[in-house]
Parts: sequence; C-alpha cells; structure tokens
Amino acid sequence: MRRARLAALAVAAAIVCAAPPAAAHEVQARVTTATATVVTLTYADGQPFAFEAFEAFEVHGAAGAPLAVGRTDAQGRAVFVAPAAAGELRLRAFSADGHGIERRLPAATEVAPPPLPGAEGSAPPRPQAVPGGVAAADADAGRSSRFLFGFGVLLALFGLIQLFVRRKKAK
Amino acid sequence: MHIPDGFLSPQTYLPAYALAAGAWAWAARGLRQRLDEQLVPRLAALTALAYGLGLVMVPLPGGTSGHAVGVAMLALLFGPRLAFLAYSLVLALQSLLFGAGGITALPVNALAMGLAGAGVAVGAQRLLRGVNETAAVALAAWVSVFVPAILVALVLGVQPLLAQREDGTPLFFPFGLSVVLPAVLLPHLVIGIGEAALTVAVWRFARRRRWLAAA
Repeated sequence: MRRARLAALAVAAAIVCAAPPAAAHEVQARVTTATATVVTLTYADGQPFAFEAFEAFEVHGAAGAPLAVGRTDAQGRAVFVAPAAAGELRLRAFSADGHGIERRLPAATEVAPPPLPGAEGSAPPRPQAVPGGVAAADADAGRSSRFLFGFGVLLALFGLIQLFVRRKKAK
Repeated sequence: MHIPDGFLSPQTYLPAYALAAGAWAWAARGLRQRLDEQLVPRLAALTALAYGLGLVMVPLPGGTSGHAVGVAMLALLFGPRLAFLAYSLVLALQSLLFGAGGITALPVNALAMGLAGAGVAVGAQRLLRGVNETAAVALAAWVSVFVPAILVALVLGVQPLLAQREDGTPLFFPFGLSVVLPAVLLPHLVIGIGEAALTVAVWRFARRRRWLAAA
C-alpha cells in the first residue's frame, strides 16, 4: 500500500515537472523604457481618430505580417515600438464606417526624438511631418491652399473645355 | 463614404478599374454630344460646388462626421453621364489633394457615388415627379446618398472574405458585413436628409434660372 502511494506520488511529481507549458497560463508584467513611434490621427476638422484599429508594417519586411496591431487612444494616437533595425514603415488605420488612412512613415532612425523637458535650450516638441501627411500646426493653411488649388484646377479644366467648344463653333 | 487606399484588395479594385474605364468612356461620349457654351459654365459651377461640399465635414451624433455628396444635383441638372464624369473628377481631386478616398479605390468610389448615385437619383426623380416635384427631387437626393452607402458598405464588408493572411486574419479592410453595414448606413440616413435639402435648394435655383432645359 505504501509502495503504491509512493509510486503515485512519483508519477504526480513527474507530471508536474514535465509540464512547463502550463506556465503559459500565467501572465507576468515587466516594465521597460523604450522609444515608441507615435502617430497622431485626426479627422480634417481636428476631431481625434479615437479608439480605432491600426496596423503597422515594415515596408520591405515579411509580406503581410504586421509589426504591430492595436487601437488608437482617446487622442487618436497610434503608438507602437518598431524594432531598431526596422526600415521604412507603413501605418494603416481603419474605422468600421470606412474612414481611415494608409501612410508611409520614415524609418525610426530618421526621426529625431524631441528634446527632453527641462534640457537647456529645449523647445516644445513639434510634431514631425510624415510623407503624404502634414504636421498639425501647418494643417489649416495647407488645407486652404490645397482647396484653392483644386478649385483652380477645376476652373482651368472647364475653361479649356469652353475654349474648345467656342473654337469648334467658330469653325 | 470615400474608401481610402489600402482598404480594398486587388481582386476588388482591378476589375473595378476595368468597369469604370468602360463607364468613363461611355460618359465622355455623352459629354462630347452635349457640349455647348451654356452647359460648360453651369457644369463647372456645380462641379466646383460638389467639390467644396465634399470637404465640409459636419459632426454627427456618435462621434462620426459626414459631408454632402452633391451628385444628385449634378445628375438632375445634367443627366447621369455628365454627373458621373464630373463627380469622378471631384473624387480624383479630393483623393490627390486631401487623401479623401484613395487612388486604388477611385473606381469603386466613382462607380458607387458617381454612377450608381446619379443613376438612382435620376430614376427616382422620373418615377415620382408626377406625384410631387419637390418631393421627387428630395427623395432622389436621399437615395443618391443611401444607395451608394449600401454599395460601399458591401464592398468593404466582403474584404475579409476576399483576402486573408496565412493565419486567417484579413489582409485589407478588417471588418465584416455585420459591423460595416450599420456603421456606414446609419449615419447616411441623416446625411441623406441634408443632401435632400441642399439638392432641393439648388434645383429651385436652377429652375428659376431656366437651367433645367439643359438636363
């Protein structure tokens, strides 16, 4: 009887020792400091693109697999940590109603971090423009200029059509 | 309702480009047939109005925002072919200058908003103008927003089924029909009402100026 108990105990101990995957059920937290890429997404009227899904990819990385997936925060910020060796990045953000954006971002090494607060001669950090996008401070002026440019393109195009019609009529 | 780049799979936008190319050629033939000195400035003015309206964002309940489309007034004044052509130009400018809608998604946006929107607007107005002209114009404008919204939602909602990664996650737009349909259609119920009011105002202005004979 005692021998059987000992055998059962040994078997139980062996099972426990041979079950390291069970540790996967335990979630542990480790706090580290890292430099993150922060992309602030807003609608044209300045309203944050808040709590929406985003995906970040390495442009020349493995096809299809994102570096990071997540949701923007209340201010519309997509925050992720790209590997130091990552090259040019691509960010895609979606809302369920079909709004969103796809933008290429410069490689992490090309974006200088803002100066630390309190450092001598430091200025408030200024958002950096990304290709195809604009820094928030320049957004309003840029939008007005683009609107007028588009308006001019339309008038020029229809002006040319009108000239064509008149010349055709004159013949 | 402007679908951006990166949301649609090539299985969607390549056939859409082929279809839109045919439709643009058909519409361009319509433009050549109807060009005259009176039509061009009117078409230019209303195309510019549609371009501007599409960029004025109006906050809507629920944290989203919307904008007028303007395709109904183009369709009711100039017919669906010219409206489709003019609205495609508007979409191209909005895409290139503002990122409102993508270049890869341009044919889908143009076919949904420009062609289907204009077509249903003209159809609805012809069907109902015998009953009440103003109501016919208002309803035409409302359906010109709502029907394209259905088409855009369907195109977006089927993307997870069309293209997936090896692990089964969607490669392009990630939300299915059950999420996209209500998210797109509910705001457009309201946007359509604004579009109807705007279109009726433009329609009355055009009628006073005797522009309607050109349609």
